[in-house]
Amino acid sequence: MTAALEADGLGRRYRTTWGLRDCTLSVPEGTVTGLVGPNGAGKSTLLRLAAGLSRPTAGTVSVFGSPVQPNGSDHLDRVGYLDQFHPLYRYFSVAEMLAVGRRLNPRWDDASACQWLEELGIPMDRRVGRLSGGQQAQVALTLCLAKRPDLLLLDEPVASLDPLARKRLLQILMGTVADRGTTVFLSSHIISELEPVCNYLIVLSSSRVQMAGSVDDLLANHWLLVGPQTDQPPPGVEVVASTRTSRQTTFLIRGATPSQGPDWQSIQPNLEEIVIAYLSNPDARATRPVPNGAGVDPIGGAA
Amino acid sequence: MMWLTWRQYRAVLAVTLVAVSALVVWMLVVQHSYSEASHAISRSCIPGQLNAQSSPCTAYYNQQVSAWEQADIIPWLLLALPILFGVILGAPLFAGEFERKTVILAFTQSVSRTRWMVIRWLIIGLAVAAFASAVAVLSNWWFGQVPTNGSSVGSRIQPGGSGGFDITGIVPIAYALFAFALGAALGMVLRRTARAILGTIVLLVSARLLFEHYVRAKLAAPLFFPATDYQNQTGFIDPSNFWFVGNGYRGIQFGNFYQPASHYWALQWGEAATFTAAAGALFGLALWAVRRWRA
Repeated sequence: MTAALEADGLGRRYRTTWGLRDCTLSVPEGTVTGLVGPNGAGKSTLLRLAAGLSRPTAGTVSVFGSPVQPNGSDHLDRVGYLDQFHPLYRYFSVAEMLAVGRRLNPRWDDASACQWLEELGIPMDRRVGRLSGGQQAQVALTLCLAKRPDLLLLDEPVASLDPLARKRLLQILMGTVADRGTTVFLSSHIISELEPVCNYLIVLSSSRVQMAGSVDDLLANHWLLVGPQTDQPPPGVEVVASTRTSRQTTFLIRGATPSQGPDWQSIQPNLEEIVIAYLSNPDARATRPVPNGAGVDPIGGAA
Repeated sequence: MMWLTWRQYRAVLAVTLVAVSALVVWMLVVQHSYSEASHAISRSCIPGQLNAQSSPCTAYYNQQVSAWEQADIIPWLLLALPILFGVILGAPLFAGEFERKTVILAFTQSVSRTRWMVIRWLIIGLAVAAFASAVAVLSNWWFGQVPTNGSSVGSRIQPGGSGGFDITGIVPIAYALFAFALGAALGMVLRRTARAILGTIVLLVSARLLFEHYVRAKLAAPLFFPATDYQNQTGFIDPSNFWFVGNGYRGIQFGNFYQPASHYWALQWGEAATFTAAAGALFGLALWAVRRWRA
C-alpha cells in the first residue's frame, strides 16, 4: 500500500524560527489522522506543505508517491485543503461559491454539495459574508468535500462550530470519506473531538513530531503505573511523564507490556491522557520503535 | 476561471465604465458647445463688436469662453486616466486576494496558480486596453476640435496639458497598459492594496516625467538651429509645428533643438513600444512572484 502522505526530514523556517522541523512520517492511504498540538506547534505548517501552499526549507514531502510541487498542477485535483481561516469570496452567494467549485474542479460533485448544504440548513441565495462564522466554515468544508479529493487536509475544521454543528459536520465528513476511502488529516487542539473519528494520531510540539502512530498501537503501548510516592520508576520502563501527589506517584510509560512490580498497579490510559502526558514533557519522543521489540512501527507501516 | 474573474470584477468594471463614460460625455458636450458658439459667431457677429452689450453675440462669446475654460481641464483628466486604471483595476487584482486570503482558496482548486494569474491578468488587461483605446480614438479627434492652448488648438507634438502628444495617437493606450501592469505586479509583490496603490501612483508619475524630460526627445534625432540663424529659425517656428526640446551646443555652436511635427509618429511608436514592453516585463515579474509565493 502506498503512503498517502510521506515526509522525510521535512522542515520549514520562517525567517529565524522553524515552523516545522525534522518531520519524518508516513501515513497510509485510507486512514483518518488527527493532528494535535498546542498553538504554534506546526500543525498548519505541515498541512500547508502537504497542500503545496508552502515550500519546504529542508527535506521533502510527497503525496501519493510524487513530491509536492507548489507550482505544479499534478496533484491539485487529488488534494482538498481547508484553511483554518476558511477564506471565501464574501460577496458571492452560496450558490455562486458552488459555481466556482464546479468550474475549477473536474471531479466536482454538485449533487452532494447541494444536499449537504440543505442538511446543514444553509440557504443557497445568501451572501457568504452574511453567513455566521460557523456557517462559513461549513460552506468551506462543503467545497473541499465536493471536490472529491483522495487526500483531504483540514486545518481546524470545526473550531468555530457549536457542539451540535460539530457533531453533524463530523458525521457528514466521516460518512463521505468512509464511502470514498479518502485519506484525511484533521488538526485540532481538542483531543476528545478527534478520538472517535481518527485511527491515526500525530502529536506536534515546538515544531517537531513528538508522537506518531496508529491509535490502536498508541493505546496498546502505553500504560499508567500507579504506585507509592517515589522518584524512581520500576526498573526497565520508559517513562513519558510522571505526576506525584503526597500519597502516590503515577507514571505514564511506554512499552508493549507493562512491567508489574508488587507495589505497582497498571491501568490502561485513554488517548487524551497519553497525548497530554507527551505534551507536558516535550523531551519525550515516540517516533522510534517501541522498546522491548514489540514489533510495531509507530510512525507508519501497516495500518 | 474566466467566469470567476468576470464575477469578481464586474462591479469594478462597471464603475470604471461609468467614470470613463462621464469623461467621454463631457468631452462631447464641450466640443459641441464650442463648435455651436463658434459657428454662431462666424455667422452673425461682426468682428470688433463682440463685446457690445446688446448684441446676441455676447451670449455666444461667453459660451465659447466657457468651452475654452472647460477644455483646459479635460487634457489633465486624460493624462490622469491611466492612474485610474492602475489604481482601481491593477492594484487590487492580486493584492486584494492576498489580503482576504482568498489566494489560499484559489491555489487549492484544480487550477494551477500560473494559470490563475495569467487569466486574471489577460481579462482585466484586455478591458483596460478596450477602455483606453476607445478614449484614445475620441481624444485624438477631440484634440483637433477644441482649443486647449489658450484660444487656439494646441500642437500635437508638444507634451503636457496644452500640447497633444500624451493624449493623442497610440501612447495613451500604452500608458494605460503600463499603469495597469504596474498596479497588478506591485500588488503581487507587495500583497497589500494600499501599498500597491501608492507605489503605482509614485512610479507611474515618475516614469512618465522621466521619459518626457530625458528620453522622448532622443527617440528621433532633433533639428538644430544655431542661435545666430534667426531667419531660418523664425521661419520654422510655427506653434502647431514643433516641440522646443531645449537649447545647448552642437559641436561648438550654441543653438536650439526642436522636434518637428513630422517626427510625431516616430516619437509615438518609440514611446508606445517602450511602455508596452515595460508592461510585458511587469507581467514577467508577476509570473515569477506568483510561482515563488508561499503561505
